[in-house]
Parts: sequence; structure tokens; C-alpha cells
Amino acid sequence: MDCKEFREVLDLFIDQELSADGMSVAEQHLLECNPCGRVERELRRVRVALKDVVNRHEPPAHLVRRIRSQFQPNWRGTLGVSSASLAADSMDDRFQSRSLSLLWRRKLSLPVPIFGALLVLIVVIVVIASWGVFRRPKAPVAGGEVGVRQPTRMSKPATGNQREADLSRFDRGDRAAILKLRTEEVPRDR
Amino acid sequence: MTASRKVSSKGALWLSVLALAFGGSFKPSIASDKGNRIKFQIRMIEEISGQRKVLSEASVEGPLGTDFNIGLQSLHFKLDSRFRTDLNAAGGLTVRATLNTRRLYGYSERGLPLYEEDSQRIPLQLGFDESILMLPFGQDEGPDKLKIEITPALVDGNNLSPEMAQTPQINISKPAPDGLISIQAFKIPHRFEVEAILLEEGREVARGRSVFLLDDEQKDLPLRPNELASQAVAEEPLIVKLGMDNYAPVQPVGQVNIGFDVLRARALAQPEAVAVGWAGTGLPGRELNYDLGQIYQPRDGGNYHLRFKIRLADGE
Repeated sequence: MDCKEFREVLDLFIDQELSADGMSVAEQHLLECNPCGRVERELRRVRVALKDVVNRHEPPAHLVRRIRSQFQPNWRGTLGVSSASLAADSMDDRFQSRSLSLLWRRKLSLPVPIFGALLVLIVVIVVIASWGVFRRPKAPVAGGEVGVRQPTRMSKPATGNQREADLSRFDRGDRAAILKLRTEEVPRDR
Repeated sequence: MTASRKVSSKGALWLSVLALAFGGSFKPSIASDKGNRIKFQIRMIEEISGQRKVLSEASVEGPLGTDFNIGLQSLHFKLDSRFRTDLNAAGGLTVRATLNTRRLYGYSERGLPLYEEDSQRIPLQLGFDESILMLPFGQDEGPDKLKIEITPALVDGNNLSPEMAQTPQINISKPAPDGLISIQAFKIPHRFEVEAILLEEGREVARGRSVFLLDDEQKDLPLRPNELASQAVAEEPLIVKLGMDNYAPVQPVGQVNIGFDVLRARALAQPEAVAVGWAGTGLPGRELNYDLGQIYQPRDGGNYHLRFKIRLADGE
């Protein structure tokens, strides 16, 4: 095997993809040729370096955030304070500080069902609050029935010097009656 | 004729008497021919812890058969009372009193007023030695009471001109404070003669006639079958249970409402209802016709009608 033939199968040799005979012939050439030995060692170093890079388990935070944002609902991503993004930020202080500093600038976007539910809740709270403020104060109940306030007057106020008399001191809620009595029993007072 | 007056502190109201003639078509009642008039002394009494105080005093005077209304209006309570009066055969008075009260009960949650209303019809037979005691707020035995005492009396009207003798008058000797009480007086016809006729195929087969008193309780008017009546009609004659109310003084002779039930007499049982709660408005001198149609068929396929003829009774 000469050098040209060795360089052609060098990747296969390092990957141990050659046949047993091919591996023996290539190893024999390495023992006899120093330049090819240097090339073989350099290629192995490059491969190790590449493997280190490729085998890293934690990608950069900005990459994680960008990729995740592609797969998450828009409302969660734009809310900007998801646990995933914070975890990613914790891996990189630069990104964390940048993320927090821009929190107030992020858009607030919610899905329609949650937005509707929040709106209804706000309306209910406002109605309940205004009910207590604007409703009429309940006066003592007449006749024991709920929601009936005591009377104040029957008709419009009389105008001028004419006013309506108040006979409530005589009224105990009884039914009007007519009786017959002997005239001699009627006092002749004035 | 009618007269109206509100008992108030205003002098002008005290002196005003409104008298309206209903066309002058009504004849004086039988009793008025004797020259007598009826007078009702009306006093409103406040009784506090047994101490009586006359708040108001007035009198209504007019020909026999004069009616009067007494109204009471205060802040929370309103009373409208009507008294129809007639001289009866015993020399006393027949009084048909109607009381309508309206009491403010309170207010609804929406601020609308709630009223307690009541209506009563009270018939009285009264002698001239007796009085009417009206208690607007009932017979409660509380310390404070308001009473309206009405005392009738016959007075001589022979010294009055014929026109004045037929005119109701209201005299107020003590006005009520704040226009508390109002009084009106009327003279309208009270007695009407009603003739009821049962028609079979347009032919009269039964008839009844009686005099009815305005605002009186319903009374029976039996229809007597004649020789043309079928056996079914003759064996189970009709009875009309009739009452009259709501006289309205429209020209020329006024109109009156009738309300009636039609019953069929049974030989050995209670009368059977044929028609219940029927009514109409009759003009004296005109007829009212009712088709008994499907509800009364003593003879299969028969065509039966009930006809009323109303006119003022003699003396009205």
C-alpha cells in the first residue's frame, strides 16, 4: 500500500470500517511511513475535538429559547416569564439579565377562552360592587314581608296652603266597619 | 239631582254647592209627595283616650231617596263610601252602603307603591231613632279612634218651592281640617221595573216582572210559562236572579247595569244553573236580548231567547 492509497482509506481506517486484511495492510503502512502517521494522528485529534463539541448536552440559552418559542403557544411565549425561559436564562447570565430587563416591554396575549373568563369575572365584580353602592337602603319591613318598605305618603304632596292630614295614629290595619246604634246613645257634644 | 261639596277650611268650598239636574225627566218619589225630606247629620269625631272632639260637622238634606258619598283622604289612607237610602214600608230607611278603602301598605323594591284595597257592601235597615256609625279604621279597641256618625231625620219640606224641594243641599257647620273629609249628595232613580220574557222560536212562552232596587242584592224573578209554552218549559220554568247597579245619568233617562244568573227550576231538587254571571247595560225603555243558544235546550232544536225590558218604576 502506498501513501496515496492509504490517504484514500484513512477515514475508513479510523472508523475501523475496513476489512481485516485492509486494516492489517494499513497498519503496516503506518509503521513504515511517518508522514502518513502524522496525518492519521491529526485526523484523530480533529475528530475528538468535533466529538466534544457535538456531545455538549446544554445548548446556548438563546438557542433554546428561540427553538422553544417555535413550538409553544404564542400567549405563553410572549408572556415572557415561563419556567422554561427562566431555566434557560439561568444557564446564561447575559441572556437572563436581558430577558428580565425586557419583561415590561413584552406583549400580553391571552387565548380567547381565558380572556373571556377574565372579562366576565371583572364584570361580575363590578356589578356586585355597584349593587352595594347604588341600591336603595332597605327600611324596616311592613307586614313581615321581605322587600316591602314602610309607607311614607299616599299621594303627591298638597300644594299651597292645603296639606293632607295624617291619620296614621288611628290606623292599626283594621277593616273599615259600619255599625248601627241608637241615636240616644250618640253624645250631643260639640 | 246631585250636589257635591268638600268640607275644607276654604270658605269658597264651604259655600259652594253643585247641583245638576238630570234632564228633569224623573218624577218625584212617592214619599216626596207628602212634602217630607230626609236629612242626615254627619259628624266626624276624634276620640282620644275617651275624650271626644268634633272635627267636622255637616248635614245633607234632600228629597226622600237622596244618596250621599263621604270621602276621607289622608296621607296613607283613603275611604270612599256611598250610601243609597230609601224610605221603606216600615217607615224606616233602607240603606245600601258601599265602602271602598285604599291603604298604602309600603313600597316595592323598585320603589312602586303597594296598596291594600278593600270593598264592602253593607245593607242596613234603619229606624229614625237609630244612627249609622262608620269606623274608617275598624273596630279596634285602641286608645285613639276616628268615627263618623250619621244620624237620619225626616224634615218638613212643604215650605220649599217645588224646585228646591227636589234639590239636595249640603250645609257645613264645622269644616274639617286640611280638607280631610268630602261630602257629595245625589238624587237619582233607585227603583226600576224589570220585565223578563222567554221567547221560543220568537213566540213568548214565559214572562216575569218585578221592581228592583239599585245596588240591592240580587233577587229572584221567576218566569211564569203561558199556554204556548212547551211541556218542558212549563215543568221546569226559568228563574232569573237579577241585580242592578252603576246607574249613570246619561240623557235622557240614564242607564243602568244589570247582572244576572239564569236558573231552571227543578221539581224535587235545587234549581239548575243555565247561565251564570251574565250582564248588560240597559237604557230604560229599551230592550236587552240574550240568545240562550246551546245552553238552554228544553226542546231539541229549539231557538230560545231571553229579553229584558227595563223602565223606571212608578214614582221615580
